[in-house]
Amino acid sequence: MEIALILEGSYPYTTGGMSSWTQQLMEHLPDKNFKIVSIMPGRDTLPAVKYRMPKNVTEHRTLFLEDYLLLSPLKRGRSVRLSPQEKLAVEGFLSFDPQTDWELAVLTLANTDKIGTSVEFLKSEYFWEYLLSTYRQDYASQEFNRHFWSMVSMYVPLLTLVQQQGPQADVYHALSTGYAGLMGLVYKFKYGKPLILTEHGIYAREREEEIIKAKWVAEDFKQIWIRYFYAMSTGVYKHADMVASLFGRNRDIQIELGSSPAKTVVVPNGVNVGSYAERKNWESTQNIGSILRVVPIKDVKTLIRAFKIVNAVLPETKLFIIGSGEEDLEYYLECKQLVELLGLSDHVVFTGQVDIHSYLPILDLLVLTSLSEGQPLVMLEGMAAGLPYVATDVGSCSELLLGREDDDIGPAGIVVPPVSSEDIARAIMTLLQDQAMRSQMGKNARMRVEKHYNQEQFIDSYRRAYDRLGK
Amino acid sequence: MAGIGFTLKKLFYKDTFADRFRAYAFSSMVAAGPWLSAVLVVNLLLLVAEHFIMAPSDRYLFMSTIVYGFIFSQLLTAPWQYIITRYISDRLFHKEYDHIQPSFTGLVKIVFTLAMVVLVAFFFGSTLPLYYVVMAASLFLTLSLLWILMVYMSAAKNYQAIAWAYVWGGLMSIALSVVLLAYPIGFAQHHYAGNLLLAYIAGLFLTLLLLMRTFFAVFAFSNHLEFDFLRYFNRVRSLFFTGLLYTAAIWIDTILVWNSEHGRIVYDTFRFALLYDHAKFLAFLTIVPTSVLFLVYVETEFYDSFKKYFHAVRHENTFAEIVAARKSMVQIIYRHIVYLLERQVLITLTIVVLANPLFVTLGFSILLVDIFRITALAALCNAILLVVLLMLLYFEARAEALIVTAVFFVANVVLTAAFLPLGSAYLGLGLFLSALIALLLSIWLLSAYLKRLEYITFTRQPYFPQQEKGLFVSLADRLNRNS
Repeated sequence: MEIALILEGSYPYTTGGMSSWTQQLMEHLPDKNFKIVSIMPGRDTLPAVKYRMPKNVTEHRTLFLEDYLLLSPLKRGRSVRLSPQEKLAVEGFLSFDPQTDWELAVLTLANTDKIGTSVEFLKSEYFWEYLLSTYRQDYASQEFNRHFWSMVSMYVPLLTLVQQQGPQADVYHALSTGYAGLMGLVYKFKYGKPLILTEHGIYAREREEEIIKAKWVAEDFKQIWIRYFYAMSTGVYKHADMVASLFGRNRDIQIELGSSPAKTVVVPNGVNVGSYAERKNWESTQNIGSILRVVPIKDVKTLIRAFKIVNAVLPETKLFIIGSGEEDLEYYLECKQLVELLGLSDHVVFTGQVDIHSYLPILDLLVLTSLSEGQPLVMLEGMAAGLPYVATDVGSCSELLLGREDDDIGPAGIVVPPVSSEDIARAIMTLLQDQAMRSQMGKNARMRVEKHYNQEQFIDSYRRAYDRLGK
Repeated sequence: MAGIGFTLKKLFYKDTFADRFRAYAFSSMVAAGPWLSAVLVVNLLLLVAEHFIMAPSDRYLFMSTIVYGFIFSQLLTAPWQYIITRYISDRLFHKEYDHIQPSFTGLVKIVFTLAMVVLVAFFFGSTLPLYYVVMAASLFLTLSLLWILMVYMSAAKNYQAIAWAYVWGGLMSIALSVVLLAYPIGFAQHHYAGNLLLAYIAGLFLTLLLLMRTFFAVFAFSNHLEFDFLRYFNRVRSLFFTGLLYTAAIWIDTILVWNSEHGRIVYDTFRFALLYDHAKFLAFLTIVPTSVLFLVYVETEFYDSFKKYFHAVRHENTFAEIVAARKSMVQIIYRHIVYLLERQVLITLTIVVLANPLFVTLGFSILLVDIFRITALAALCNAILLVVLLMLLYFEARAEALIVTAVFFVANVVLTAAFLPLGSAYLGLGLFLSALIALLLSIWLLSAYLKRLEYITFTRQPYFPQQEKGLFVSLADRLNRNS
């Protein structure tokens, strides 16, 4: 059986939870073949491949959003002949109407014989008339020149992508909505095969937050962008045959955004508990660890400040920041400078990208101070190794540490509000100074992971999904 | 987490309009200049020849040499002029001044080569004496170079320099002809024709030198990419053929008449048709004032409203405002065209009605009158046609311009050929009808184009920047490397 995995801005070019998840999935389903479709921004900014793809990966293609550059920008518009239904569907798609006939819209727009290339279509009289009519309806007081170019610049990469060729497979599995989800829809309709969606975070929400903060977009245009991303997501929620998320809260959001409850499931991440040695020795080493990429969303600066407070009280303590600093060099340097500024150079170690197994035994506890998370794989791994966690209350972190309602296993760590260095420091010191609490929480952590977040349930869920849908 | 959709910060919205609708001017001098000066000079020299050259065959030889020189130098250079005008304008806009001097050198090399081929083919086996052939060839070459140089000078708007160069050249011709009439050079054959020709060429040559001196002073720097302009064949190939077809269209009837029973051959080399040629040149004289007026209008008022429209498009205007700006611009255009039409119709009709007594007074042969009447109407159509054609080119309606000139050419060939057997009463009818058809077609195409101007303006932009590719680009590159 062949499964096409569709990812955006992730595997195999960047490290992180989603990439590790993908690698894990493929490695543990060796009897299934995988074809990978990576969607990346551009050819010249393409990072190096970070993973050795397992043997059951039979194809890897990368689609670039900037590949419209390969088209001729001066090609004249062609005449577009569509039936009334096709027009309705296409115009619904272009207006980001979530209720549009997705199948008809996507199939029509992907058909270069029918509408030409993306550039030809966008230069056609048909598109011009459509743009004018929506402009007159909703934007008539806007500067037309800017409106025209803003819309064209949105549509060119979108339509170019939709017209790309894709792999043939028995099941298509998109790992986010957005462009990955959209391509999933394209393949589903084109090849008539089922589509699974797994979301690690809610893509549309994340884009909305980004857009609201973005300084380079005009205010009136932000609404259009936000509607665009939500519409794309809704299309996938409606038409995917199975919609999965990592935890309950996200499932609720997916249903809210248009996914029918019957097909919407929670498949939590899973770790192979067996690969982590059970902890026996709970004596304090005064070492604190944090496994993360050094990027702003992980709020490493708050962590450093919290550690300053801890170190002032407990001068023997050491903080290990375990993870790559390559993704955001500017931020990485700022963190290092902060460490120096606070006089912690002898107590803080940036390890870079290393094998965490070598560090886990020497750590008392782990800390995660993120501003936003889904269901961090690193937390599950740390918990599997029997380490307690101090974590901010974002995403599913409190669910992991404190358990769901029906969970009678005790706490696996302490949950704190984000950005608060005092709370974080206090929680860390509590754990450092109380060996009994540390050991109990550590044991709880491993128990919880064994029961609810083990690798078998994760792999099994998808094996069953693939077998059910792909026959 | 992923989500690259939004990190695409490269919104490629930028001022891509800058590429087209800014300081670009399709110099109207390019289209009208050559035939304007041909008309003026030929008429003048005709008078001179009448008075000073006694032997008819010598007179015909002289006139034919001049006429051939003008017509064929234009046919040779007009297509290139249309392309190079565009190239120069773009370079001036991008402030790439060092590209301009070498393009002239490169173009001259090409034109010179082509001219030599044409000359050898034409004069091969001619019975004319060598000295005369050399002079005739010099005339052809000098005129060709002049037409090209004029493009550069007018793109740089050096109208003063142009005027002075022609004044000095003219004075030189006159002075030399007076001297040579008193003390002629002892040519074995074609005594008067040879002397007059020499005088004229000398003056022309002086004009060329003066203009070249100004040219090299203004465009002092060179990047030695002499054939860079060839890549414009990739972009605006139709301009080349538009130039060719237009020039061919206004002269093909003459050539056909020359080769008919109405035409004669002089010294086995040059053809002419006495009545037809004279009538046609006189007729085209009647549209000189209007044409000059129009050229001025184009370079000033029209261009201003043209710029205003595209400024409106680019800056903070709603679509309704853009359409309003376009409508007002179009109104101005139509108003001016109508104004010119009215004036010219008035002039032409007056002259046509008064042709008989006028010709008697001015001492022209009365046999010319009938042909003159028809060709005057043809000239009228051509004057307005030129106006509309230039509008089309300004608005980048290149396909439309090509269609119009192609129709003009084909119609002229077909109709002239069809009417020739019907006798001298129908001479000029081919030119008139084809010019009329072309005129009506051009007006129709222009108005249809202007109605869709916004659509065309926005969608003809390149939606994102791209490298230039194509056969002529690589040809240009290769030639540049070798030169």
